[in-house]
Amino acid sequence: MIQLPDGKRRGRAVAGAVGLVTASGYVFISAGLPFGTRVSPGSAIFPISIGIVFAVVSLLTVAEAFVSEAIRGDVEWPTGASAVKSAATVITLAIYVGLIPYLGLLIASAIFIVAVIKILKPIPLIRALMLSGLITAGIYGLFYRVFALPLPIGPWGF
Amino acid sequence: MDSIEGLAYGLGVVFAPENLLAAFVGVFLGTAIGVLPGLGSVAGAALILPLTFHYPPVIGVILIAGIYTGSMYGSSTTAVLLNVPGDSASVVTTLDGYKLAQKGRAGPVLAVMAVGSFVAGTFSLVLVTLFTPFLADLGLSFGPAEFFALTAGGLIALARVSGGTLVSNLFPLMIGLLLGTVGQDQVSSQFRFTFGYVELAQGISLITVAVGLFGISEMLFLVEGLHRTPRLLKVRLRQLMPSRSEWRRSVAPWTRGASIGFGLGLLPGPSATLSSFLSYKVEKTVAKHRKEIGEGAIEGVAGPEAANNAAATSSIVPVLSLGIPFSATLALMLAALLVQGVDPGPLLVVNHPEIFWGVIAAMWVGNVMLLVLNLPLVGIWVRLLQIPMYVLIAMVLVFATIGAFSGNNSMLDVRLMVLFGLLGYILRKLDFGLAPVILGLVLGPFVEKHLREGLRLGNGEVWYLFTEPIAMFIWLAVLGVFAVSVVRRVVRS
Repeated sequence: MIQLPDGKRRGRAVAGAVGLVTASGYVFISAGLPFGTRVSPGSAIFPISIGIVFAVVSLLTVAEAFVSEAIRGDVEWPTGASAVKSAATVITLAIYVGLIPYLGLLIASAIFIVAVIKILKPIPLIRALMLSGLITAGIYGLFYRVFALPLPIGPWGF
Repeated sequence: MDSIEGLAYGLGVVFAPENLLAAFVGVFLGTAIGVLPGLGSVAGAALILPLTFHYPPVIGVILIAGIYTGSMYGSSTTAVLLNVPGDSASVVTTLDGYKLAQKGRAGPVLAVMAVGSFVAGTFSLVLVTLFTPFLADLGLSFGPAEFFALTAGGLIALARVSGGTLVSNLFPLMIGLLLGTVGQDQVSSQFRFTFGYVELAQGISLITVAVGLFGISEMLFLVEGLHRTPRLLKVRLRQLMPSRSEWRRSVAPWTRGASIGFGLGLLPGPSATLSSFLSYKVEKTVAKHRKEIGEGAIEGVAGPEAANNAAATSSIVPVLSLGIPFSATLALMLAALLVQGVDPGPLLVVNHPEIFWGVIAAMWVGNVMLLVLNLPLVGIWVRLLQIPMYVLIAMVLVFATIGAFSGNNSMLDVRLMVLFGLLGYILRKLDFGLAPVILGLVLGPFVEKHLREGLRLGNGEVWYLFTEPIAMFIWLAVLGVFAVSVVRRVVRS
């Protein structure tokens, strides 16, 4: 079995493999669309064409990872505290997005800002709350009042 | 109307109070976006884009043009003061700009940059004014075969010249093209890849993809690098004036950089970045004080800065005259027009002269504003850099959420934004380009439209798409791009 020497090559080989699977699924679904005729092509033709090209490009990505010298080096994934902060930020973002329909954008944002600030910097909670209050007030003034955007509202009407 | 009348008309459009305000807000926000770490012009323009839908299209496009020019100036400012380029076009500026700043010449460097950008922008504008109507006239003779060659061939050429390996750009380009097929088919109204989500009928929102790929992923990179706090250099207003020698040594690099930038801006590719690197190489070869370049020479800043500004101005020519953007930010400009029902292309100058000439004039007015406002405001930009990173990240993530939602008032877009953020993060970690995703997403539907129209016109013969004279010329040019790179590789080996 061929061993890939560094992280970047391994990562790109995996990306190519995922691309190949995606392209196969994409072409499979596209084949269920109308083909039309040569003169009047249906909606399947373009997706099938680019799906096949994507499969070829994905194979090339895998091949390049194995044979090309142009790709080398390790991927600098975050480690230690940095990894914890990154993961916590992504999870908090996902929870925030999930909460918006229930709490409304303003309340969810206020909570989210406090959470992110506390994750990224160990400052006193009261300071994080004050910063969150300031930013949320700014968001309210700019997006709700000045631009009057129809943003998600919660059970309290804002 | 001829070019001079057109430009005069465009200036009249820009000097309408609301458009002037849009240009000011654009360059101001653009500079702030360029100065602040993380937010580049693509994510910045994508965040602003939904706000423009409430105003006439000319305001939206002027705003985005302002963000484009302003962010370039802003990112060069951080390149000089912090040794941190805001985008790839400013990387070269760090080489001599930061070294000059360490020698106490930060103020004069910023002044030479601003004046050089203005000079190059004006030079490029004059040529754009003369060139764009000609290209629009040429575009009138284009049919599906020519547009197919231009869009499909342009994307392929772009993948070759965008830096990195060919696959590093083709892989994300194909992701963009696949995403572009989601939604209702333009011809048959058939739903494709919507998986039962009615919100996807209009396709995947460009704003969602751009904000996720560029904005969210960049915030994740910032979270990783929080411990690296840069040391700020202070600049006072009275320290801005360059010496007589610095002025004299900047003139020739400005001229050379402006010429290089204008030419490259008309071609597919990351023209601002390529032109700044090429200009730097040219200065290292021909400048009188070339031996000082790399150690802190004003030529190493003046040339590249003029080049990237001239390229930014001339790169709007293909968008306005042919409806084809060659960079992610310009793709957003195209989107701003399409959303408002304006069809960019050869007929834009006839059907919407206020947009066509208004945007060209706005680019120049934006340069004047950058010159007049940004130098005195340099203290504000420096102070902006002092916003704690943890506050900035929290703010940008909330703004990104608002931007993604307000495009279609859809929570699905917000969820997709998070996914695209993770995708962008992984692609960047693995050295894949991000801009090709945006270009594939925007140009994919055009490629399909022209392909299907071409097949219809050519009675189902694929060769029709390649054998029409102009189309054949474009395909030969694309082949030429590949041939040149093969020859270069052979020569190098």
